[in-house]
This record gives sequence, structure tokens and C-alpha cells, in this order.
Amino acid sequence: MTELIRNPRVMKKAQESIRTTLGLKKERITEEDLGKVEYLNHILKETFRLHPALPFVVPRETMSHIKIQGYDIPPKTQIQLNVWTIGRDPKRWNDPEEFNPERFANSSVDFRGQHFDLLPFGSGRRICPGMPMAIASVELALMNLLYYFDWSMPDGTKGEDIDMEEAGNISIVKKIPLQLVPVQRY
Amino acid sequence: MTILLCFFLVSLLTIVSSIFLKQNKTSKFNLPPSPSSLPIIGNLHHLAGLPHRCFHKLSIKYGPLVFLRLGSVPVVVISSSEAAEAVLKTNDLECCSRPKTVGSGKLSYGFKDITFAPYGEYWREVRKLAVIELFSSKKVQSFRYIREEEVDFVVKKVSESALKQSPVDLSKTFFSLTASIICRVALGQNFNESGFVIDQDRIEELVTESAEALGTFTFSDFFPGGLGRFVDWLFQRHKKINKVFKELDAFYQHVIDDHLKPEGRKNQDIVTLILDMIDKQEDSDSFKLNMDNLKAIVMVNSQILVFFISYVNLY
Repeated sequence: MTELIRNPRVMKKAQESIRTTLGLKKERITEEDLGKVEYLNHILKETFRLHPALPFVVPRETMSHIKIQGYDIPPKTQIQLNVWTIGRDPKRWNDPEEFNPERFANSSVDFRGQHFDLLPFGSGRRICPGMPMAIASVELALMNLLYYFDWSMPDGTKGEDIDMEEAGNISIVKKIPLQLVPVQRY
Repeated sequence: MTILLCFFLVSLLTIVSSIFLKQNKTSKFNLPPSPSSLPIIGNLHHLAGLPHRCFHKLSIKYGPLVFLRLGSVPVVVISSSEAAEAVLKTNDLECCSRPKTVGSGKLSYGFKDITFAPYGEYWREVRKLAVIELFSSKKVQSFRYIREEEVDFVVKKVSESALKQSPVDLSKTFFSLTASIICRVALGQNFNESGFVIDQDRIEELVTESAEALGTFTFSDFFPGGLGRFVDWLFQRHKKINKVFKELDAFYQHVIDDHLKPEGRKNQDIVTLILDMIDKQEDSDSFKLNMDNLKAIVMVNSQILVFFISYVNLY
């Protein structure tokens, strides 16, 4: 939601896509409707890329001596994967600092652990088992809030003024709560 | 007195670590590049600020693999997708354990959960349980009505704000939405109903405090053994963790007690599911769950889900 209010173009496109796909004056949005709006899926991926909830996933530990790219890593070494940095790697992403969901339009990159550019849930044997539960909840909530309401900043403030400061340690949160004014559409 | 003690400690550590560092220089290993380190603390001084930002800066200077020594713990920071693939795919099994920290050990009842359990027979069994029973697509589907009802509730609340044209605190909204969903799915309890054991604000505080306990390092994490424990004792680091743990434990015990009452298991929530499994266990089974496993699994995993879902929605 924060990135959407900061990027009115994306917000508008998201709402139009959802409203056109679902039709006007829908009584209730259910999980039947999930997956219907492709653009919403791109927004989720773009959010995972720029704002992974666990910026360096849960660390692993080596059990034996391994070699990675020619370097030795001894047993009992902590492995910290900085997915925050990987999501902003200029070698892999064009304009990495920009919130641009369209970058996923003609791309097969997904967040389920098969693409190592986007790893919000980790990958391999230790991949987060709660992923399906998390995705369903996130998509349903966003779809509802974007379909039924238009959103604006409280009096006089602008989207680009939002303080993006992060707080926390292994997990990060937005330091200042996000306050927005809703206008009912349907 | 405290200052004197610290001084003594530092000198002792310097001697110990200088012996240790000398050994390191003769190492025949080709370790990844590493910034200069200090006696005792190693590279801990490079971690002032948000850790991912610090790691980010180090990767720009030293490349996609950086070797650090945090106290006496060796750490490799991976910052490119190629190196990530080499770890998570090519060497998945060799890198499949978890480092132990004081906070994660306490909140997982001694690593009896899924997330923090070290690699081994126990972890393989609970992992199977999680994938097949707790988070299978059939199970996730069976909780669909809960997600839908809770989201409807949010839409109703936001409509009320829209009528009054008053702002909505979305940080709070997403948190309570997620917490309600997870509470009903995992514990079968609805905290919007009156009579719920703790109020919503306290839950929010507890989630924050336990995230802190899981994420904040103690001295013992970097200096295992008596020394780390001593410094932690000096600074009372364990007190906070123990306090959160006690409150959470009492809360989960209350939930389990409710489930053990007659008629207590009419909801097919995660606690019911695991209690039913415990009932069906036979003496001869090699893999057995007990109440600590139940609490650890529910506590750690609901924590992570609550945190994750509210976070993604907000951004």
C-alpha cells in the first residue's frame, strides 16, 4: 500500500485492472477471484523484491566443508543471505530502486524458490512452509481494499513525502505508521 | 566495580583472541574476502545500524561473498543470486542446519519447532508434518472462510472511516487482520469476541517483543561459553527474553487447556490437529510430539506468519 500511494500511476492501473476484471458493484470479493488480476501479482513480486520482510532470511549453518565460487567455507559457518541486496542488484534489475511492477510482465521470475533473484521465502529444503497461507491472505486483503476504496493522503500531505524509514533487526518494519483516508467506491 | 570487571574481561579476551587470530593467519583455506577485524569482537564493529544495510555496504566493497567473524562466530554473507543458488541449490543439504541463538532457543522450547530446529531426524519429521498436514493446499483451502470473513470485517471497518472521512492507520489495520486470521487458524480463537484472554494491544506488543527477542543478539551468541553468559548476566540480557517467553507460554498453555476440555476441539485448528496427532501416537513410535513441540511449532510459526503478512500488505 505504501508503494502504491507513492506511485499514483501504479495505484490507478491496479484499481482499473481489478475493477474491470471483477466488474462493477460486486457484493463481495472471495478467494474465487484470486489470481484473476495479473497486475496484482506483479505488484506482489515487486514488493517482495524491494521490501523483503526478512531482508536476510533465516540464516543457515554449514554442516560440512563446502566450496562456493572457489572460496572455502568451513563447517559450522553461519550463512547470511542478503536478499535485500539481491533484489536491488543493478546487474540483474534495470533501475533497481524504482517501484515498477511492469518489469514482471514478460518474465518468468517467481518468488517460490526457483529463481534466485527473488527469494522472499528462501529456497530449498528450508523454504518457508507457510508461503501458501501468506500469499492467499495478502492477495485477498489487497484486492478488497483496492476494489472498494480510493485512497489519499491525509490533508495536504503527498505520497512522495512518506517516510520510508525502516526499523527492526532481523525483521524490519516501517518506522512511522501509514495513515491514509479511504473513499468508498462501491 | 563493573568497569574494573569489564577491563579485566577485555584484557583477558585480547590475549585469548590474539592466540586465536595467529592460528587463523596460517589457515590454508581460501576464505572469502574479509574486512579488517579487531581483537575479541572480530567484525562486530561493522554492524552498527540495520544489519541488512551494513551487509549491503560490505558487499559493495568486498563482493558477493564476505567472510566475517562476529565475536568467535564465523559468518559468510551472500549477496548475489549466483552465490545464493550455489548455497540453496547446489549445497542445499550441506547448508541445511541453523545457527543457535539464545533468543531462538528460548522461544522455540530448545529448538523444538520447525524453523530453528537443527538439521536431523527430528527436523525432517516436523518438516514433513508441516508440509503434508499443516500447510498443505487442502488445509490452506479449509481455512479459506476464515480469511474471507476477516477481510470482510476490515472492509466494513474501513467503510465506517470512509463515511466519516477520517484516516485509517493501515499499519494497525494490517496487523490486526493478520493476527485475527492466524489466531483463528492456529488457535481456533477469535480475539474480536469478548472474553478473549488477552486484549489486542497486548498481542501486538507481545509479537513485537518476541520478534525483538528472536532478532536481538546476546553476547552468548557471539561468545559461546562462560564468558558470553557472564557478560549477558552483567547486562541482564536474558531477563527480557525470559519475560516475553513466560507470558507467551502462559497464553499458549491457556489455549491448550481450553482444547483439552470436553467439546474443546470442535474447531479444526492447528492446535486441535497436533493434539489429535499426539493422542494417536503409540509407545513404539520413534518420532513423538509432546506439548513443548506443540507450543514451539505454534508459537514460532504463527509469529512469522503474522509478521510477514502484515508487513507485505503495508508495503
